[in-house]
Amino acid sequence: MLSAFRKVWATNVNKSIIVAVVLLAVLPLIPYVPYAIAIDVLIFGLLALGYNIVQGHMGQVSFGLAAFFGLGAYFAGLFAYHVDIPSSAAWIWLILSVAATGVVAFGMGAVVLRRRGAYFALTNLAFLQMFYYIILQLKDITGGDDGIWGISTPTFGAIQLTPMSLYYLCFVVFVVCLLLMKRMILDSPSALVLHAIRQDEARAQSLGYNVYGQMLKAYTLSGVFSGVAGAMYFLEMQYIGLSYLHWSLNGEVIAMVMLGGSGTFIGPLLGAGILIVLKDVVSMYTIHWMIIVGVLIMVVILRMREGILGAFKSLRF
Amino acid sequence: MDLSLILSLFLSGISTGMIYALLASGLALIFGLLGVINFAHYAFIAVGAYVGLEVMQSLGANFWVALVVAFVVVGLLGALVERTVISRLYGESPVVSLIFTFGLAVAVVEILRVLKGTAFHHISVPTALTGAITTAGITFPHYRLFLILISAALFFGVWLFLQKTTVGLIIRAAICDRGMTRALGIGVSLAFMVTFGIGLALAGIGGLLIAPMTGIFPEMGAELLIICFAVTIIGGMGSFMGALVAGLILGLISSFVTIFAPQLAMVSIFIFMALFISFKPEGLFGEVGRVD
Repeated sequence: MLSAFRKVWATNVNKSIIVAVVLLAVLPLIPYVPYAIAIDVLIFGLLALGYNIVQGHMGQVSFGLAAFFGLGAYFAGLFAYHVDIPSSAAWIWLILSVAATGVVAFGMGAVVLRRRGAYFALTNLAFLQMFYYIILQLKDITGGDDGIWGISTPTFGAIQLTPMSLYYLCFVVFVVCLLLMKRMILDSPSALVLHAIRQDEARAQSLGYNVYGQMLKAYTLSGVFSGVAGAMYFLEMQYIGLSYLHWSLNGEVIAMVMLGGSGTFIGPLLGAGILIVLKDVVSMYTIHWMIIVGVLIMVVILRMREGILGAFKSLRF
Repeated sequence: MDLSLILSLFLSGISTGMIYALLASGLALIFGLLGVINFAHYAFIAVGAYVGLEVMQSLGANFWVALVVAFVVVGLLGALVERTVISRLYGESPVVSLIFTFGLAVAVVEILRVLKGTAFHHISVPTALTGAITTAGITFPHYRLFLILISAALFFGVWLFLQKTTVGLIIRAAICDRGMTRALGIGVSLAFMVTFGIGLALAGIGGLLIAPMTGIFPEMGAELLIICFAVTIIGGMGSFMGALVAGLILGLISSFVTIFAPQLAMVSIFIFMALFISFKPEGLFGEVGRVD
C-alpha cells in the first residue's frame, strides 16, 4: 500500500494532482469559503483544465470554448425542462447532455481544425457566435434572451441537492474527470502523438501519424469536459441563459489558464482558483471586476508568459 | 420577387457590407504590417462612438465635426497604445497578440462602463441625411446611401494613402521586408505607429457611423468585430481586397436572408463562413499559413 503510494507520489504531476484533490476535498470546510465559491472553483477549474487540452496540450488557442460550456448547460437544462426525468435516471440525464455536447464538439472540430493558429482561434469564435444566435432565435425552446429560470432538477437517488451535497457531487465528478483527463492527455500513447503535433506538426505528419484525427479527438475531449463543467454549472444555478455562451467567458477562462500556466497539467486549476477568489473579493468593492481580467491577461502576456506553475520549469508539473 | 425589391435589398446589403469592409480593412492593415490581430478593434469602435457623442452633446458640434474628431482622437489613442504596449508584441505569434489585445479590449470596455455607464445612448441622423430617395419604385434611406459613399471614400482614401504617399511607400516596403527597410535607414517604427493609428481611426469613425442605427453602448462593437473576423477568415487576414469582397458578400447575404427569414440573418453569415472554410480553407485571397 505504502510502496504503491510512493510510486504514485514519484512524479511532480501526480504530486500536484494529489495535493489539489486533497485541498479541494476540504475546501468548503475552511471557514469563510462559501459553497458557491467552492463549487465555482470546481466547475471553472474543470472548464479551464478541459480547455487547456486545446491550448496547452494541442498548442492551439480557441476563442470558442464557451460554446461547449454553454451547450452542456443548455442540453442539461433543456432536457430537465422539457422531459420529466425520474430520480433513477439522473446520471443518465447528465451523461446524455454531455454526450450531446461531445457530438457538437466533434462536428465543429471537424470544420475548425482545417485551419491553424489565429484562423483557428477566430473560426472558433465565429462558431460560438453562431450557436449564440441560434439559441437566441429558438425562443420557444430555449427561452431566447431571457433564458429559463428555476428549472427543477432530478435528485440523485436519495441525495437531496443541498449546497454541501452539490459540492461533493461536483467534487466526485471533478476527480473522475481529472483522472480520466490525465490518463488520456498525459499517459496514453496518443497523448504522446498529440504533444509531438504541438511541437512540430509537419514532422508528426511525415512520421505517418494521423494528425487531423488526433487533433479532432483531443478537441472533442476538450469539448466533452467543458460540457461536463457546463452541466454541473446548470445543476448549481438551475438556470440557463445566453451569458453561458457569451464570448467574454472565453477571456476569463483563457486568463485562468495562462495565469496558472498553460504548459502545465494542473496549472489551469490553480489559475481558476485564484481568479474566482480574486473576482469574489473585488466584486465586494466594485462591479467592474472585468478590468482585472483584462489587465491580468495583458500582464501575463508581457511579464509571465509561462504562468505561475510554468515558471518552475525544472519541476515539470 | 420584383426587381425593385431586389434592388433595394442589394443596396442595403452593400451599405452593411461596406461597413464590414471598412472595419475589416483596418484589421487587415494592422495585421499586414504589424502582424498583430487586433481584438481591441471592437473596444475602439465604441470609443469612437462615445467620443462623437461627447463632442455633439457637450460641445454642441454637429455630426460632421464629430466624425472628424472621432477619427482623429481614436487615431491618436491608437498611436499612444501602439507606442506603449503593442510595440512590445512585434515578432510574436499572431495568436499571442490576439490574446493580448483581447485583454486590452476587455479593460478598455470596462473603463468605458466606469466613465459612461452602461446606458444606451441614441444619436440621430443629421437632418441633411434624413429622409429617403424614391426612384424606380424603390425607397432607400439617405443615410444608408451616405454610408456607402463615405465607407467607399475612406476605404479608397486609405488605399491611395498607401499607394501614393511616401509614408504609404514605407509602410508597403515594411510589409514586404521589415528588416531590409530598416537596413536602408528608414524609420520603420514611425510607420508602425501611423498604421496602427489609421487602423484604429477607421474603427473609431466606423463606430460613430453605425451609431445612428445600433445605438451607443460599451459593447456595441463586439458583434460587429466577430462578423469582421468572419470577413477576414473568408477574405484572408492581411488582404485589403479580401476585406472588401468578403465584407460585401456577407453584407449581401445578411440583407437577402433578412427578407425570407429575419431571425436567420446573423446565423446565415456564420453558416456561410463554416461552409466556405469547409470547401476552401485557404480563403479567397489569403495565402495559407500567413497567420499560422
